[in-house]
Amino acid sequence: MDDLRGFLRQAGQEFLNAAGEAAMGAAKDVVGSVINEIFIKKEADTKRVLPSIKNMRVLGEKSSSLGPYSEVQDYETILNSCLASGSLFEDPLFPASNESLQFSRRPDRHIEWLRPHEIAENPQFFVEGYSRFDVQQGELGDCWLLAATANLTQESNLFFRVIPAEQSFEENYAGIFHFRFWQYGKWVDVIIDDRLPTYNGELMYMHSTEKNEFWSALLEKAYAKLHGSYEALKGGSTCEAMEDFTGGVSEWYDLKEAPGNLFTILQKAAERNSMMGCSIEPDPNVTEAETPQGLIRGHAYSITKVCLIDIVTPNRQGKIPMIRMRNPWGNEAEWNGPWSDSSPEWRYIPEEQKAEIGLTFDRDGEFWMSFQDFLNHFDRVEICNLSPDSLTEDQQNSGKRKWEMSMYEGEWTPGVTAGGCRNFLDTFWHNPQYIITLVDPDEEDEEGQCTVIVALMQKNRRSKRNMGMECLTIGFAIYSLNDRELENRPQGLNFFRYKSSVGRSPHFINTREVCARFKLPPGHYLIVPSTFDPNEEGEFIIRVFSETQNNMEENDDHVGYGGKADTITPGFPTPKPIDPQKEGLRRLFDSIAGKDMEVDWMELKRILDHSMRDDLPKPVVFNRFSNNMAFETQAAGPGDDGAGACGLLSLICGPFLKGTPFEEQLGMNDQSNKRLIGDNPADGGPVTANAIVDETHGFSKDVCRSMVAMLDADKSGKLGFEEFETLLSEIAKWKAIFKVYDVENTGRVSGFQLREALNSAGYHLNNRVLNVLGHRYGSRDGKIAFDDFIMCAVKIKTYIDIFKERDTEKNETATFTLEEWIERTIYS
Amino acid sequence: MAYNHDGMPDQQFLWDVFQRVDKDRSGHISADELQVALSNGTWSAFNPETIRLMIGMFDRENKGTVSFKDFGALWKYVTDWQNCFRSFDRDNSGNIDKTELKTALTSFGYRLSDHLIDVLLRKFDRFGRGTILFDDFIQCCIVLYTLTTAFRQHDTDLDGIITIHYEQFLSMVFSLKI
Repeated sequence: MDDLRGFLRQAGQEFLNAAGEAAMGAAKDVVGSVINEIFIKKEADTKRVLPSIKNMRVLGEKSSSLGPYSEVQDYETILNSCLASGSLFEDPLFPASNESLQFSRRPDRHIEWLRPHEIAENPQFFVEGYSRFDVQQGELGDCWLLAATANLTQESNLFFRVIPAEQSFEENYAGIFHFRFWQYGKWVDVIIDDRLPTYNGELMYMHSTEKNEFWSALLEKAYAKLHGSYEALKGGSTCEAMEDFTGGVSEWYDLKEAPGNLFTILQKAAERNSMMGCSIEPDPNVTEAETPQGLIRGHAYSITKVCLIDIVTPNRQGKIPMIRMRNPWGNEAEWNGPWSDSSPEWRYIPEEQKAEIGLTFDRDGEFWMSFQDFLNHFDRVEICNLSPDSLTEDQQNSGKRKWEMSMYEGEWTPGVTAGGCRNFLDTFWHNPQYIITLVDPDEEDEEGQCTVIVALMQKNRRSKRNMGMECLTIGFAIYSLNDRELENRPQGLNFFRYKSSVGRSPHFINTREVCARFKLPPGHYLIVPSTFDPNEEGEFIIRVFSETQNNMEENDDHVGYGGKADTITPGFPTPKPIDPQKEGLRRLFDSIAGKDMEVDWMELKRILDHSMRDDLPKPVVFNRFSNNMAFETQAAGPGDDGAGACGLLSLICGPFLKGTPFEEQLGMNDQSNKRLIGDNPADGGPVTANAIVDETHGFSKDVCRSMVAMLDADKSGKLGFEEFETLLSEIAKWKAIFKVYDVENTGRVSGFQLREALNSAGYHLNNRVLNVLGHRYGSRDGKIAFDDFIMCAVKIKTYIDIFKERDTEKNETATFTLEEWIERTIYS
Repeated sequence: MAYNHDGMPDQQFLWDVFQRVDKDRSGHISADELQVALSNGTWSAFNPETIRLMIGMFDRENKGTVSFKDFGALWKYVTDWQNCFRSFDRDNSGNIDKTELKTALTSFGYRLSDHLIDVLLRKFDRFGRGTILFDDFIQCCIVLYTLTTAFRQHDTDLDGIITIHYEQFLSMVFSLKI
């Protein structure tokens, strides 16, 4: 015993020395002083309209719960069903009633829902094809949607991706239509019936110049359904709609603080078929007031062309930067300043140049401005950069450029990956991390740099009463990485303590998406997306657009098992107990197990609840009547041997960690152990005890069952002595690791420490798996209790064993039949 | 008890039941309150894992509780399970044995071997008597459904065999919350 004690003391000392050396080693890597980099939170001025969780589920978004699902509608199925029965489709999910119109108050007049046949004679989906003149605004304040829709008509391939062309009011008409929208990386098919809101027999909302053309009105209805109601479309940004129509990434600029190269940005955007919109700040007193120059405040204009055009005057000759725009009202107010439709400046433009730019002078809401006047009169410009799949082969062959795009889905899980912004340095590094590698500079870039657009979008936020989503405040930071830093996966605390960001999102802001453009020299970069405060739960997609390849990847630990799996790191020795202790453990086991020489999960629970009682978090006492009259069991054993066995339980656990800093925390009271067995020496002999198993406190039934399953080689449902011995050894190890991180002895650890704790046990997991563990074993504040930590470790060990058994070729890939999958997983 | 045409009892009846279950009058039903309210036919507590699974299914706000708005669906879910359980408890013993379990799972569309039925029985048999109680029966069926669904998501060619990487395996098993 003394030899063992000495050995353990030395092992503990070595552990402390190793820890100290690691700390010193980390300190040696420090270059410079601690960086005091502070991020500021910003509130969005207007609430953005975002999809509600209800519709996402309706539209087939994958849910993480086990609950019942709303029906996912399939266009072909419903169409064929209606045609067969000769009926017109009536959508139960977006009914022709007030709830689909407004949610904050009842409409102020009688609204009639009519089919197009009831609105106009000879209704058509398209009249003479489609064009930007088919988009006229109604009474809803959704000109942002009209502007995006008008933009969409500029590109037929984009248009028909959103609006399938085969629909009509003649052949195969059944009152059902469908449209497709991009939602967080997926294209979603939205099905509607064609009952449209009208007043006095006329469409109230978006409509076409042609009274009997209906594609735009139906598109608006589908988008309203996606968002929960027509009213939800009031007050949005063209950026959002353009992204939902194209899957592109949007950015915007305040023209009062325009970057010097804005014209180049707009020109390059036009080369890549980006969709662009612009606006003037609204007049607070007048809805969509008109300026003396004929422009409308608070109105979303479309930018339809950006170019340098040849100008020839008597005095000089050259090129002038010009922008063509369109007013979504269609045929009313237009810019009346220089280069307007009636402007004399057009006399100086050669005829071939006029033809080349498609100049017209119709009172159609489309007009030209010089770039300088554009900067002077407009306040905001929005650009939607298209993803590579939006360009057709012909467009690429004809010299159109495309962006290189990378996209990852991620998640902020409280206590695991919701680290908050850099202001919270201790948890910031737990956020998801991504690496991009830029090799080639932009073509034509004189400084040899690369253009990169980073866009972070949050998804699936819950809402109440379709009042729009309560968005998290989100943002991101970018750091450069040298080759040595590249080897750390992920970057740890000290990396961020001593490193400044080379770029960041313009704000931490509560909008659906935050986006920024950067010029970076070739090299490796780390991007860290986060919420402003730690422990805010959310899902996101992060996209990187660049002119040249950006080679984006997740910066994360490799998930796997190897030589280190199932072994502990140095400093946590697990020597086999020597013979005298083994005999004591045997006697303890015999006294608990009874005649069958095995312990089941209930007997195991009694042992663990008692011996670990000081480690479990204190239960919350509910003021209620409990009907937990539990199972009766018997535990009996010889008096003298029983007493000895009780004391040996603490000895068995204690020696594993004697000589380590945790020794005093393992102390157990012999008297309490006697009560566990129910032996009362005063009675002068063994007695039969009727103990009650309390299932609502202490270790859960499932963790005890899982412990049995973990080691139950013969699948008997019980543990034999050798199995019992192995289990106690494992638990002692996990307990020691837990204690390292539970420095305040609360019985709980922060989920942020789960990765390090599991690494100490030899398990290496990435964020995706850690997020799942956080959801499963963490409480809503991101803490993990001792018994849940044990459960987590037990499960990981069991699943590793299951997987290895099936991984016959040792390449971390396994094959299961359905029955094998069920059996292995359910009994674990 | 008044029923509406969709099989849901009327709101007043539901509200009365809800009030009785919501002991602390918080407006939400917690896992503990639900556990107290339900009975498995013996003196032992209703299976806390089954409670957790049911709360998870109907907790749309992800708060760990069920609001009155979702209580109707939860109530219907429990009563449907009661009727299901009784229909397979042929000898009216309050529990189901191996034969009854096999009949139940076969009628649900599963084709499982006797060996796997034994595994399920060992897993969900609380007292080691070869029978399953009502609350454990619910858990068994939910777990089986969840595992089957997860398997089929990876069985893209529907041949009954999946080949997965270690990380996929871990994400699968831990996200099942069983």
